[in-house]
Order: sequence, then C-alpha cells, then structure tokens
Amino acid sequence: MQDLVQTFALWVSRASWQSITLVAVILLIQVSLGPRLPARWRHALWWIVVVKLLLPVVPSSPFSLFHFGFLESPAALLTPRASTGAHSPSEFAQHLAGIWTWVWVTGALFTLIIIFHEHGKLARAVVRQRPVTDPAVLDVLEDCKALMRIYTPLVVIETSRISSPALFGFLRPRLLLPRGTLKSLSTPELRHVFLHELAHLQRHDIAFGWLLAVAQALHWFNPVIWYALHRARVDRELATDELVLHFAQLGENRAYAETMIKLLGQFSRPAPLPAIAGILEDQRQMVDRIRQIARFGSFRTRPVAAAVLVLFLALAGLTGRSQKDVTLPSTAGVPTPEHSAQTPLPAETGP
Amino acid sequence: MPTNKVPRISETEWEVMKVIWPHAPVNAAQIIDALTQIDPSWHPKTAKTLLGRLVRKGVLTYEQHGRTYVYSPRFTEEECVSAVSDSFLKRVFDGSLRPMLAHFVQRKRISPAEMRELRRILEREGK
Repeated sequence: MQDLVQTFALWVSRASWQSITLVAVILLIQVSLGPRLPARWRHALWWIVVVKLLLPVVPSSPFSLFHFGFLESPAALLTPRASTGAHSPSEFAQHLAGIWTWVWVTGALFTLIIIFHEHGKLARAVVRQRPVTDPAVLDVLEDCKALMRIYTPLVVIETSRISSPALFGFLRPRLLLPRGTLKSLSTPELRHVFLHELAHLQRHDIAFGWLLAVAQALHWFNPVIWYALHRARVDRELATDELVLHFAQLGENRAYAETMIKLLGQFSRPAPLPAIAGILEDQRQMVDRIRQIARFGSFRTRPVAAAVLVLFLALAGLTGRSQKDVTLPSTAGVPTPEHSAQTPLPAETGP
Repeated sequence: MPTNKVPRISETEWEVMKVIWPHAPVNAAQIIDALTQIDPSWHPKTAKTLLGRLVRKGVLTYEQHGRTYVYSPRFTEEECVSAVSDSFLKRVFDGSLRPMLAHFVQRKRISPAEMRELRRILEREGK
C-alpha cells in the first residue's frame, strides 16, 4: 500500500514539474496572440494543463515538449549523469522520497477537506432557503433559458452568503442572488445576470471546476499551478462573457458591461486603497472583461487557427519523450531517477 | 451615529430584518404578524429569540413604549447587503476553494477610482 502511494506521489511530482513548462508556453502563446485568440480557446489552453495534472500515463510521441532531460523530471537536475548505471538509489534519496510522500498526502488531503467543508457549509445554508417565486423574475429566467436552449430546471434563491450573483452546483444547479439584487436591478439588467449564469451552466463550468479543484488539491505544493489555475478561472469568465454576447442582441454589449459595473458598485465594499494582496490583480481582470465586452464584434479573431494551435499544444504537452516514459516513475519502493533522462544511450538521442 | 462594522446576519435573521426595514419602528407583535403572512410556519418564540439575538449583535435597537418594545434597525438594508464578511483564506483562495460556484463578478472590494476607471474604459473602447 505504501509503495502504491509513493508511486502515486512521485508521479504527481513529475507531472507537476512538467506542467511548469506547459504553463510557461501557454502564457507565452496568450501574450503573443492577444485578442486574436478567441476567449473560449484562451480558456481551452488551460485544459491541456489540467489534463496533464490528472493523467497518470502518457503516450509517447516525437512531438513531445519534454525531450530535454531537465524539463522532463526534476531528478535530472538533482543527480549527476551516472555512467555506472542508474539503478543505484542512495539511502538518502529513498528516505527523501518516503518523507515527501507523507508530506504530499497530508497536503492533498488537507486541501480536499477544506474544499468539501466550504461546499458543505454553503450547501446547507442554500438548500434550506425558499426559492424566489416572483413570476416576473421567473419569466425573465425562462426567456433567457429559451434563448440559450437550456432546459435544466433552475431554482433562484436569494441569500446573504454571496456578494455577487452566482451559479451553485451542477447536479441540481441553483442560481444564487445576493440579498437586495431583485429590488435594485431592472428587467434588462436581471436578464444580463441570468444570461451570464446560464452561460456558465451551458459551458458546464462548475462540473469542470471540480476537476480543477481536484487537480489543485493534488498539486497543492506547486505555486505555479496555483497561478495557472487562477488564470484558468479568469479566462473562464472571459469565455463566459463571450458566450453571453453571442446570444445577446446587437449592441447589447455596452448595457451588459454597465450592469456588471453597477453590481460591482452595489455589492462590493468600498476600498480606499488597494492595500490587500490581489486587489490590483482583481481590477486588471475587470478591466480585461470590460474591454473585451466593449470591443466585441469589432475585432477579428481567428478561431480555426486557435483550434489548431490548441490541438498541437495538446499533442506536444500531453505526450512523453520516449517509450520509457510510458511506465510510472518507479515501482517496488525504489525511487530511481528517470534513467531515460540520466543515461542518454546513443540510440536515444536525437531531436 | 458612527458607522460601525455591520455584524454578520444569518439567513433566518435576514428574514426578520426584511420585514422590519420597510415598517420600522415596529413592535414584536407586528413583526411576527408580517412574518407569518409570508410563511405561516413561523413560531412567535423563534421570532422573539431572533429579535433578542439581533439586538445583542447590535443590528437592532429598541425603545420601550409603555409595556411593549419597539424595534428599529441600526443599519440600512444597503449597508447590510454590502457587508458580507470574508476571512483572509476566502479572499486569497476564493475561486480555487469554492469550485461549486461560478460568479457574475468576482470582486468584494472596489474603490471609487477603480469604478471610474472601468466606466472610462467602457466609454473609450466602445467606439
């Protein structure tokens, strides 16, 4: 049992390490393509990372990004190229792997527990609330659903637990509204809110969000992954806005942005100075969203090129270096550094 | 009156506050009456317990008029609406630790200057 866990821990570490390269490549792509990259493909790029984080076994291909030893495994950096053969793990390395396994398990479980705890708290509070029954509100919702061809029954609930409208859950989704929303929003404004949350529903964002959370928990120790998944969520909002504008009427984009700004003004607490970490970043995200909405329709994006790019990156990022990559890092509790990275046999080297 | 921090109000306490705000100042009997009109399952005792709690929290204040107590809110509904508390953990990890939620806007604090900036961008970029 211990061996299995250790193997798993080492696989996670290796995937985590390799993902760093992938994240760097993705950020590079996003920065260089800018607004030519449609928002939904921008978001889709991050899914390559998520799949990598969750995939235990990778097929090999000549297109793999990880041909270089150090990109493929951190062990390549730590142990010198051994000419005496790689099957000589030191006592120390073995000991280290054992400790790391336990540290990793603790961290992953702890993160998962926090996530499920948060969910439980919110679920208990929300499930007991009386749904909104105002026919005017429900009519707006049904109109939006019809427009987007969504047939899932959806309950609207007012709650003090959130400070922004939000979709909750994916098995029996509920649309949560902060207290006071229904009073202060006009019908067109409410429509904007509903369209956005319904877009999240149509994109299955919450179901996928759970996968992100699991990936997050497994890779709790890797700050690059935290950042990458944070950016994935940011891009998710941009992709959702893009979908809303697709369904909205011509010229409604400006009104949509104004609804967003209005809600920000109403439900956010005033912050005199951006003194708390994350606030500058938050504002940048809002700026990006508003800008994308304002420019919608006027900028030519290239979805086909984007799709091809994503597929190619998936191929490069999700495949391994050589046949030896197909097996898990080590078995029988003996942690060997990746020997394919260690001893480049003449037949293996190549572009 | 100095603006103190708005205390956290639970869901059931919200239900009580919602009938107080439009009619304040009100006495307990009127509050219970309004609550049972919306939802007949309200128990007078529960309502009274909640009133006591809200007074202790500082959300409500009261005056004695003869034999009855008359309650008034110490914060407006708007103030309570925008005072959703966040712990530090939630602020930093909000999105990642709550995968079950997909928000419309993900910001809990915004300065007037930032609001103006957003409006300016909308103005400028929208042709």
